[in-house]
Amino acid sequence: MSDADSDSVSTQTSLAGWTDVTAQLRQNATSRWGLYVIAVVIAVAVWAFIDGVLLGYHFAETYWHSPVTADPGARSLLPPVGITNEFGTGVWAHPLGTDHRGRDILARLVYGTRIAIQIGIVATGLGAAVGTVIGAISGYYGGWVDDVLQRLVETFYAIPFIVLMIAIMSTFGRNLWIAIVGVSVITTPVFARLIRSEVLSVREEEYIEAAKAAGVRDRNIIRRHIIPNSLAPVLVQATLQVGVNILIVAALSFLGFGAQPPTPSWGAMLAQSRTYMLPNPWFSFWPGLAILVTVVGFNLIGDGLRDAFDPRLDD
Amino acid sequence: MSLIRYVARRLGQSVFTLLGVVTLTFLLVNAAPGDPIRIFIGPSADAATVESIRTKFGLNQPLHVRYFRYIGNVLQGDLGQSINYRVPVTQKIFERLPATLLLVASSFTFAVLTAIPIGVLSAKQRNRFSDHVFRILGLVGVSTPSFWIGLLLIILFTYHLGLLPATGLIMPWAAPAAVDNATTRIDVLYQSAIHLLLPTLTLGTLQMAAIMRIERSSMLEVLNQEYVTLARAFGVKEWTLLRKHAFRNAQLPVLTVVGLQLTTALGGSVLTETVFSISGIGTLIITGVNARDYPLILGTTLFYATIFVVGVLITDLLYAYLDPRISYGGGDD
Amino acid sequence: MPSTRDLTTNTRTRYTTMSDTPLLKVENLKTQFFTDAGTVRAVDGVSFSVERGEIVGLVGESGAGKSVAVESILRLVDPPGRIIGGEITFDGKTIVGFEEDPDDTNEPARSEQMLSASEMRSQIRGNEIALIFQDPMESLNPVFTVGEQLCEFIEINRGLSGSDVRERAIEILREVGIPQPDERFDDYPHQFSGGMRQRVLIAMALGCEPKLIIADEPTTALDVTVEGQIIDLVYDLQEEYDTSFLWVTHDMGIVAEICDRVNVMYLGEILERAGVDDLFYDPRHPYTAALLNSIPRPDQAGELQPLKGSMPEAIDPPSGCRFHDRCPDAREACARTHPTLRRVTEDEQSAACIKHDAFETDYETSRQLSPGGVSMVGENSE
Repeated sequence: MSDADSDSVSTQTSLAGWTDVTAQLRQNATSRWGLYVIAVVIAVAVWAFIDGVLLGYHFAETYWHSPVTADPGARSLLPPVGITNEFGTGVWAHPLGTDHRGRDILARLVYGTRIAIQIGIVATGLGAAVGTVIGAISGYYGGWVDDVLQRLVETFYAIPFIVLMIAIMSTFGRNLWIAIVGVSVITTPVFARLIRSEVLSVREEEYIEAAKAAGVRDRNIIRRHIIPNSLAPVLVQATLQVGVNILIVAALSFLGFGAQPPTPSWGAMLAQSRTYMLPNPWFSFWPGLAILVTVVGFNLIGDGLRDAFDPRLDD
Repeated sequence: MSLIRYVARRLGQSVFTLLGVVTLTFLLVNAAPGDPIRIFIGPSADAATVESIRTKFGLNQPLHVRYFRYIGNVLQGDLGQSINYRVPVTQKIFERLPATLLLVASSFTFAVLTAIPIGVLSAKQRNRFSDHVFRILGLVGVSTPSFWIGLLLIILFTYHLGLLPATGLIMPWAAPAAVDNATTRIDVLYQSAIHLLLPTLTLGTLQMAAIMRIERSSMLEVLNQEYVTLARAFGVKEWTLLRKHAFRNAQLPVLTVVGLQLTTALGGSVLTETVFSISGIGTLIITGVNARDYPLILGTTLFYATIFVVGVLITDLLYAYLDPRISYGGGDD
Repeated sequence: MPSTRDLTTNTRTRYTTMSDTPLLKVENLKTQFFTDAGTVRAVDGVSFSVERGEIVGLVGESGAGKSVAVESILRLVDPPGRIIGGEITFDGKTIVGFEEDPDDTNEPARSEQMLSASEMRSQIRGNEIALIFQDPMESLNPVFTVGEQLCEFIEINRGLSGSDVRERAIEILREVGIPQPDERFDDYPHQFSGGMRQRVLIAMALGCEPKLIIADEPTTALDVTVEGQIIDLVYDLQEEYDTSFLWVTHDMGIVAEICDRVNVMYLGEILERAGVDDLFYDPRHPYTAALLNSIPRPDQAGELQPLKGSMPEAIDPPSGCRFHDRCPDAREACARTHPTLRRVTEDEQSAACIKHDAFETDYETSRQLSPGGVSMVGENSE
């Protein structure tokens, strides 16, 4: 009995399920909006990566405003266009205002998208991948393997993520890749536990017994039958987790543990704005709004996915 | 298995987890580059002084020796001496504990007291206008960074309206002499309350939104169950259905989330304390990290983790107690 | 008139007299579901009745609309479903009734006599009409003991309280055959086996002493042996309490054993109605015949002939006769005309099939020719 036979059946059913899910996702109004928002955000992030990291802000500096250095003669802490404060009146050139160094806030928001999305998505992906493997092994084999892995997972889970992140970053440095690894580490337990409970129930299904009886190797059973059938909640969680991780990244930046200046990051902008809350509250407003909108987008998609996978009719 | 065995097993697991936490943190902290003694004393001190202080703090011993010594101390309640503050870590923790406890307790209470009724109501009014409003609030609530809420609240209530203070927490039991603007005990209570309000909202909003969402979805799920339909078919009133039949069943998943929120609250308290300049454990750990104060970092992390593990344990035990399927064992099926 | 059971041969003698005032009368019931995908005509003009002391069967494949009909009787239809027409009366009270709808707007106004929601709850549900569900594991609340749930229902429907309720509950548990009922009273549902749980559900229904019990596939989830015990139990209880039953099922074997009269439902309509013997030995509708041919019967030899195809969705029923695309006897006219349910023998057997169109005319003619006498024309010809 070849693995291929048992393999094709499960792939077929998953494919059939997929088209239905994407269709439902697009039909649902709220998740549609989520898709639009995230599409825009990711597009901006990709652009920010290209121009910011690869081209050194070339386009921004030539045609717009540099997000890292102020334009010569720019005024600091300008309010948004149409509003006046003690530093002046807002202008269209800086529609959202300027920060304490005279840099355009909108430009910094745009280029700050990169950090949020990069860490959010990469870290979630890594955490989901590693967590899935750990959880699958843990759930499938049970016994002492399960116990040991679970204790390991719980250990990371037990330390509040901020604390763990701070510990990691103070040990290994405060740069972007450490941050990504750190956030992955915090994310892994979430997925390990999720997959484990899924596997525990899928394991008892009859088609698994059939595969075993047919002589399919354990690791192939896990890879081809158990994991695909446990995917649905993982996808939902992954989408939601990106939102959570973006919040975590912003929090870390706020505390000073994120991307270092002058790289723009939303959390850091909020931290900088603290000193100037009284004279220019708008400085505090926009970065938080950016975070909110982005996370809402991911939550909408995540909720939509959850509803789409749910066989029961909801609203 | 019976309740006793379940409890025993969970307790055993918790001990292992705590051991893991200690080990992990110990390794992490000791892997950090940078010499804490240098930071403490400054670059100008000579090598001999540095060495003597290093010996005094036991930092010259090999790693595993320090590790076991640390474990031994911890079991006796000694978390070491803070390099930065020059007092025992435990003392520092207990000094800062009341503020953090007050903050977490207050925001937690706020979250639970608002979220559960709203969640139940939202489920009952499913798809009507009020439900949509609550759902939007819930969505925004879990998507908003708490520190941003804090900043906005300060801008509005402190700077624009001048109603509430923006820094510090005052313990309700503080002496009037130690508190500004307070001459009597009542004044102290008042001051305590107004200092607590904004931080509570800041920390509590995310918790509230998360609990509200799970309450709603759990209630909806239960309301769809056959036993609810059957009860309705037998003439049970809608309100009784909601209150008695549905509510108890729905709380089980909510309890799990509520228990998990505890760790979010602990992590979130770091942020809230920073925004409002509250001298709690959260700001303590930040200071410790910035100063490379190893014992302090270790001690506070261990403290946090212990609270979390205990919290999860209590949640699990409560869950087992409430769900007769677990506490009374399996049936004869 | 009640049926009696001959204990020596363990057969039921069935009486199928119909009266003018049945206990439950459903007339031309229409219940629809308004979904994004379209309007589902789940129950589309269904009429039947249940006399006192009778056990009436409602038979059909999954999706025929039986459960929706049951929900409609108790007015438990949830949105997007709605009862849009017809009349349901129970013991003189109007459960469902509408004013005249001359413009056929499909949104007639409720009739004045129709019971209000709270009247339904306090007067009908539980105390007059009780329900037994299919899946006893799902129908019992896991966090309450069996005794608590039983007592609650008895209390609100029979007005007992305190120790009286507990006594009555234990008594009922004993009657339905649960051993050591006073101890089991404090057990949780998961501590009972499937068959025992079903007995608990029966106890709940009976404890409320209703006039009518609607059983929605109560034995489907049980083993055959357990099923047999439950059926015996129902017999005994029915004799003692003279309760009427509306038994909803897709299992013809159960129907043969229990029911006095049977309604065969298909895609929201009743296709045949007959006394149980007539139904099994002389089915008049091709669907009924096909159903009977597809199950093994000890009195029939030969191959089983399964029905071809499967029942279509109620959103888009076939034109004309709804069964015509699967009917082995279909004619050209069957796709065009929608046959109504009408009497096809003297024994109050009705079928909705154009095969029998000629019967009524013949029957009426013959009765005119020989008033009060037996019809000379008798059996309809193909």
